[in-house]
Amino acid sequence: MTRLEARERRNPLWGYFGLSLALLGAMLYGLRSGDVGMELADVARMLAAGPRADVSDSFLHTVIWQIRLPRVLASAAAGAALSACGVIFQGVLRNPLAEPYTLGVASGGAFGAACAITAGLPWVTSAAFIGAMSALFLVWTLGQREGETDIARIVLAGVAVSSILGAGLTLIKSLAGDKVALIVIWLMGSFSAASWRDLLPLSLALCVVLTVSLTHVKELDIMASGASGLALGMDDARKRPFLLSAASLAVAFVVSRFGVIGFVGLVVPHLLRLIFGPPHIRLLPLSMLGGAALLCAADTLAKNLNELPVGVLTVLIGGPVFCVLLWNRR
Amino acid sequence: MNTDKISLSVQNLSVRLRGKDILRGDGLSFSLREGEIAGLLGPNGSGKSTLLRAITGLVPRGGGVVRFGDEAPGRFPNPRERALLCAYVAQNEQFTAAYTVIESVMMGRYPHISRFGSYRAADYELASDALKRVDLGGFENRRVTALSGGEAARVVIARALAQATPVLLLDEPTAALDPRHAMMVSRLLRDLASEGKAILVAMHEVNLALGCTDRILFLRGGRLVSDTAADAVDEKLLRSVYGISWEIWKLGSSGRRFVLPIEEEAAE
Repeated sequence: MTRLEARERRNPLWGYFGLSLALLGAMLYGLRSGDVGMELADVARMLAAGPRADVSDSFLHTVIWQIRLPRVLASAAAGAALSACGVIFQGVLRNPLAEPYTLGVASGGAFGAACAITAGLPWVTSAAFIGAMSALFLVWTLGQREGETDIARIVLAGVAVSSILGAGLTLIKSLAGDKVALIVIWLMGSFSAASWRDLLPLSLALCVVLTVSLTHVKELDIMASGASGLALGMDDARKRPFLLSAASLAVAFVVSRFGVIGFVGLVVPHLLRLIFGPPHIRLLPLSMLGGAALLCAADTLAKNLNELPVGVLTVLIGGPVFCVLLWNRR
Repeated sequence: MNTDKISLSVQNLSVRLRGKDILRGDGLSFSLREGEIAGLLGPNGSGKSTLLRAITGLVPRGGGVVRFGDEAPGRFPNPRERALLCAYVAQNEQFTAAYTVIESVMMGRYPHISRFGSYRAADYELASDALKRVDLGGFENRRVTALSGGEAARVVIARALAQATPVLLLDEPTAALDPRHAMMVSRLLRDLASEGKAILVAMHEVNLALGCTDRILFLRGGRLVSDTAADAVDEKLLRSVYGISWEIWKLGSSGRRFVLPIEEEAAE
């Protein structure tokens, strides 16, 4: 057992309190900062006035309601969804270092988007979503053995399909000419174009993940613990694929709209598990809060650093954290 | 305590894995009554683990019938139903996450909980009692990943006890245990049998089996070669199963027997 695990589990109430505060803080930070400087008092005033108010500072009102609020909500929702999916993947695959892109969703989405961008087509999001779901389907099919889903096989299939799609992506980049920059920027992920229209599919994705994960808390615990689910009365063969598919679907939504945002789905659940313990009844809500706070804060930071792609920031923050985690597990 | 009620009935069970016949159907039949403890012995590779896993449903049966109690023949229980009838203690289970001991044992209550229900205080009590029976009272909040091999093995047994099933299958439960705890498990199994459980326990240690079982099933090469009362096991039988010679001794006072494998090569 690692040194971190040996320490007592913290009371989850601290987690709920602290992470809620962090999320609130991140959201306020996002609403307040940007090209148009604002005081918190102004933010509060604009929010209180409601979406359709006729206020004297209609410019500030627009900035808050049309630009920053949807962006802050989108990044928080995406962060929550990615983290929850990370929890599901880590539980089902019994691997605390698994992440939501394991089944090729990111590679498929990237490939689809790259094709659409290169071809000059406007529906990049749809193409990415189709790419993501196609990759998932392919990985799924390859992962079947004798009519049943074999978890080990499906992970290998994920690796194989991701590699092939990665090579395909490189090929497209080389053929894209002057559109390469667009592809690269898309890949790195960004919430700069987030609008209220995005919040519908995002809320849907989050609802799917929330419902699926919170109704399978007991099952996730059994899977993650190493016990044989089937011997304990759980229909392992159906539940595992179902959970992975539902999570991958939600991830596909996020990736197809906002690009590939790494590490949120890996680091947040992993860290919170070390601090608060593996029981999913608290790991899930805590991870959602943590992921929302992290991604919202990272996105605001990215915005203030001249619209650096948020995917770069999550890697820059998450990468060293990941290394520290690995170091502690040695 | 042996009533005449049959808890588990196996008929012509066969299992084929990856192209090989692990268990050969014809003749692989036996029944276990309420309150009976049967040992499952045989050389390595004879199919003991596979037999237990096939009864539990962890490996698909090639053919044959497994029935619990007096359910209708031909009816195959779904995983939840089967988990209410039969608990299985695997050999060498690895704990892959740092749940506490009590959390792990409570997972044994899963088949008793409704689909959207949660574990209740009664489940906690049952889990706690199970821990006491395996001499782990007080270990409730220890992390399973911090336990010794023997303690972890006992947690798995406690979880199977918490499942509260009429049939209990164990695969080498004493392999990781020190002699004191091996004896404790042996005694625990006899107590459970007297409470009415039907128990099938695979072992490689013949003496342990002779000490705690009523009856022994011998597997060799995927076939059931013998099904005898523990008292009736003799050198000839052991030699035919294991391919080596044995000496059988009787302890003066208790009349208890123990066996010792001896060096000379037996002619098959």
